[in-house]
Amino acid sequence: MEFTLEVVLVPVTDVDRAKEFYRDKVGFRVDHDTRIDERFRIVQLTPPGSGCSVVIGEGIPLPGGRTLEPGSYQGLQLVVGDIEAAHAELVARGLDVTEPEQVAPGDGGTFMYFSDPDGNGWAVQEWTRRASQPLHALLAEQARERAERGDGTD
Amino acid sequence: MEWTLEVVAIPVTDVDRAKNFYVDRCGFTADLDMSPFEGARLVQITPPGSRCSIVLESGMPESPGQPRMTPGSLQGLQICVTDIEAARKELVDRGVVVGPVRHVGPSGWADGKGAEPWNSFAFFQDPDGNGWIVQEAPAPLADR
Repeated sequence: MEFTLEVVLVPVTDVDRAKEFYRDKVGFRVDHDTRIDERFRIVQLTPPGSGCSVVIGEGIPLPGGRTLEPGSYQGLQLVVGDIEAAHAELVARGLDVTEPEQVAPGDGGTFMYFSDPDGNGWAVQEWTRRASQPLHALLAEQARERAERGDGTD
Repeated sequence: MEWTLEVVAIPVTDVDRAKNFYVDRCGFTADLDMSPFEGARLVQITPPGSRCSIVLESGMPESPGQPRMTPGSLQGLQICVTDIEAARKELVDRGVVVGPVRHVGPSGWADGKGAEPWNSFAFFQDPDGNGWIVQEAPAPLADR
């Protein structure tokens, strides 16, 4: 059976502020903003082109009474085909984002970073080949190539 | 431009233990397991059919301004399936401890499936306590 990873809950203190941030500054699409009842509200946002969304909300019940610390999420990663253009787009919308930095050689090695108003941290990765191929397929191909070279731990 | 959400980092204490859990118990696919440099390890895993992956890592540098998460602190990763009972059974048969199927009722979580689409859930945790939600969807992602 398919188990499709489609939603990541992002813990925030102020849903309206976070919704405005992700919609207006980052450019995500608001899929829905649903108030189920007085305590329970869900806002689902999707980065353009993505098969996975983020949800911010109030009163979202987690099993076992577990809670999420607002701003504690780090390591959400977006992929773009052209990081310079992506950087210009974010800066033009007033987002505080780091300069693109090549941290590893080759395609897929350039990143920039931003955080939401609560401090949840995002990375943006450039894959120029991503425009036509899904990331996991690219990574699997690279892993095969590395294995053929007897390189790395694959 | 497309901005595709493709990776979520999962904070774990033991990459091998977590990889075994996600691959052998959950049935996810390991796309890569590599060492980008001496002392660092990166494992990318994708739940079947997903357009977003998870990453387990050790020894990788923190991203600028983004502190390392506490292992087990991530809650609320949600995967969709078209048959919650069958999905739950598949996980249980492979040894995952999955809670009963629940739905959101008038006063919070209630047992059993919900009457409405999208309102049937089951929960499990990885060995570090990172929490996952399985939700029943009316159709596969590719058809929506």
